[in-house]
Amino acid sequence: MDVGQYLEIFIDETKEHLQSLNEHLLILEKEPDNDNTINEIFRAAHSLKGMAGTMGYKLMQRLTHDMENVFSEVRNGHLKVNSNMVDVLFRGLDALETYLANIIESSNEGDDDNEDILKDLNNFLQEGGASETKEEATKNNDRAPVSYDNDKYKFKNLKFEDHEKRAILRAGEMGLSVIGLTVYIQETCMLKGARAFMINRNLEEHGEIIKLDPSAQDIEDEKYDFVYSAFVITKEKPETLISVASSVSEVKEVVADYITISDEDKATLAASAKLVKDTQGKGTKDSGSLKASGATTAQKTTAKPVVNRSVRVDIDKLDVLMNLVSELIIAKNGLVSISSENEISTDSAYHEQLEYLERITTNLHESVMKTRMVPIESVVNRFPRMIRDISKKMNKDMELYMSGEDTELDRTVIDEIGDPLMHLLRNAADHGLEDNDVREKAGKNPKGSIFLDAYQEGNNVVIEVRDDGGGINVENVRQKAIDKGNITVEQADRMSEKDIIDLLFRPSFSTAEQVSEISGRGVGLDVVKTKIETLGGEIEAKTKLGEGTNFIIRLPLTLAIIQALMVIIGDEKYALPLGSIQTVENVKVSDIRQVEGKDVINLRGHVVPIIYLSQVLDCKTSDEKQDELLVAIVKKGERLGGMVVDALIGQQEIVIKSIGKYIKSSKLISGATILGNGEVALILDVNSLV
Amino acid sequence: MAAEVSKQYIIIYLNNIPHAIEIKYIESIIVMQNITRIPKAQSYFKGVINLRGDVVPVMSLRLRLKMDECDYTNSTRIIILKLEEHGAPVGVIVDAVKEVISLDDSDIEKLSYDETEEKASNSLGIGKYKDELISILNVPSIIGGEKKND
Repeated sequence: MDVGQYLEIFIDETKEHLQSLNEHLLILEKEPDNDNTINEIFRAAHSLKGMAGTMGYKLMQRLTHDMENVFSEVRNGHLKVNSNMVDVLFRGLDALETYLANIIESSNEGDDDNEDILKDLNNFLQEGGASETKEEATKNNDRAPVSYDNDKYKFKNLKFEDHEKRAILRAGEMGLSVIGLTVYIQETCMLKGARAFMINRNLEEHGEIIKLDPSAQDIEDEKYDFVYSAFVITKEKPETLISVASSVSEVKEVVADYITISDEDKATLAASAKLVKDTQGKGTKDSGSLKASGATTAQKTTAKPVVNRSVRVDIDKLDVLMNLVSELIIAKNGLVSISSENEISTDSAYHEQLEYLERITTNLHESVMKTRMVPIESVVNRFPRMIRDISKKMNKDMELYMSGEDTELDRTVIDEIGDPLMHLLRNAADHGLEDNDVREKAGKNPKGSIFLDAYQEGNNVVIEVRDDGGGINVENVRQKAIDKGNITVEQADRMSEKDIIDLLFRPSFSTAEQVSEISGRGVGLDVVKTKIETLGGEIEAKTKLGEGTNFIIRLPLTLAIIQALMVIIGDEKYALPLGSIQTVENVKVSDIRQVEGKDVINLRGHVVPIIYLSQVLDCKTSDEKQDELLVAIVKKGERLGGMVVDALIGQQEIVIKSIGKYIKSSKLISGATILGNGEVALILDVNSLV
Repeated sequence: MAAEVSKQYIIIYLNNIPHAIEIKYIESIIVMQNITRIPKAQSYFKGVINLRGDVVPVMSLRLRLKMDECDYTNSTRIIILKLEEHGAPVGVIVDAVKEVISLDDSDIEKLSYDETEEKASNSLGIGKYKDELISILNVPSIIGGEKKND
């Protein structure tokens, strides 16, 4: 067994600990006296150190060790937290993240020893006047047993086999001692098998494990109850082994003591040993190799502990599963279309079964989709730190408020959404918020606020990035657009405020007066928009001068399968995503009015522009004049649009397929789907038309 | 004498003129199918087809090579091409598929540069096979080439 198989666990846990350190350091900076936070930081740093040590990452261990020393001084009240110190600690965290990144890439931590950070850390310690920090730190870590009742020393109640006794005797002869240990692992530990493995590995550096209870195999298979005992032949003291074992994270307690063998045992053993020697001549050798085969002592099979049951699944496997579900739905649609074309349709039993199948595939799709959902938290939790750094760098006081971190999104979306959000937050921090003195003059709280809110809305997830800064000066944008030649003066006059703001999403359009390190290179918003559109989402901006700006991102819950309204336009079939359709109306041609050269209807008090899809899509149309039009009302944000279609086919669950990168169609077509009869129908992105 | 490299090609006909496509690009050859039109696409793209559950774009090779369109016949075929092994497939419509031939590199004459640039980029050269001269099509340029949208 080598450490390799624990690398993944190590990486995951290190990420978690680093994240927790990041979060708590932020809190610590604000509340230097918060004991809980300090303890939490200390715990995380300590676990990190232990884990890095176990995996043999020495540089990482050294850095965490020094950071831990600083935390320890803070905890003991010898050092005061100041923002200078937090800066250094953050640098330390960044360095740890770099190590981790190296490990993920090459399973090697790299060779940057980050001497400067170590030096800075040690400077703090010296300032604090603590000369024996190291000892103190380690002393604090030792979760020394508090009480000495015999129940805890489980190893004392264990019986030895004869060969084990012999090994113990032999150790005594060689001047080594045998120490029994009982290790208690925290009940929240998810991978107790791995933990025990790490502990044993540490112990084996100091001696030889001769017996485990339960057996090594059972421990590895997690067939034990968070408690196990080990016997080690060593020249170390019990205290040393305790601290060695408890340096592994998630260990609750370790107790240890010397083991001796009673005199009668010695006598009987001596006799039998001779016997064995005579008959086999290699009895002692056997006892040496026992640690591997000590499985014979496996006894009690206890009730399985109730832990959070989960399985790690490779995302590729889920993708395969999702594809299979897609195929199944296509096959089901095939059955549906056969039944509606053929005579079987009169058979009600057949229909019942078909409906049953339909329910199953829909549920199956939902379940598979849910397994791919990840809370948005994993993306947004790094933002508070980012905002803090920006705030420091720009000397601008600001705070990030987040809500709805538990909102879930498809894994593929989660992986992609981080950068656009970061862009928007940087924008908000850099030129969204005014400088502190400007804010104060305007009668606002000098400290700027940025909000990141996520929530679910129907089939969409909405993420809002909001600031209470100066807002976008629409006139400036208008002027700038004219100067840059993006629009003409006449166009500018006709454009509404909203249209002007939308200009910001055009390529190379940055209104920041100055290009700063944080944002304003003019590649910002259009990149954000493109990214979000490739994810099937949309973005809009709202702003009020003097009060702030709000970027609203809408993302689809799922990317692969949607409910759609199938329609006929000309002689072609198209799918409109049901999520964006509000209603379908019959509109009399005589009710259509002309406003500024555009056809509109008055729908219950709303003016809705009419879009003739057959013209937009260059479909063949019949020349017949109709009295009534079939109009699908589409809502995008606040805006409504009426899509004229020729006929409705009905609602259908469709699988979205890409039409490939070679066809340079307009944004109108968001994909294609295969219908039950094998025909291909195109999916219209109606949002791009509104 | 340098070792001669021989490659296999499939001979296709467009407007009764033979053209050759290197066999490594060819995924499969299928008969004409129902094509779903894609609005606002490049004019030579006829649309998309359903190829065993996948949506595959299809172009008319005649239109792509600036020839006149003609009606589909019984010998019309769609050749499914892939630039890379795991790349996205593209179909091209040809009038007919004839045979597989082997050509040594020495049988292929590179085009001289007095041709127009457009034509040169779509053809790799002229191959001599039996008594015929065959244009070797430059598949990556034909499929991926970003020509002025016409």
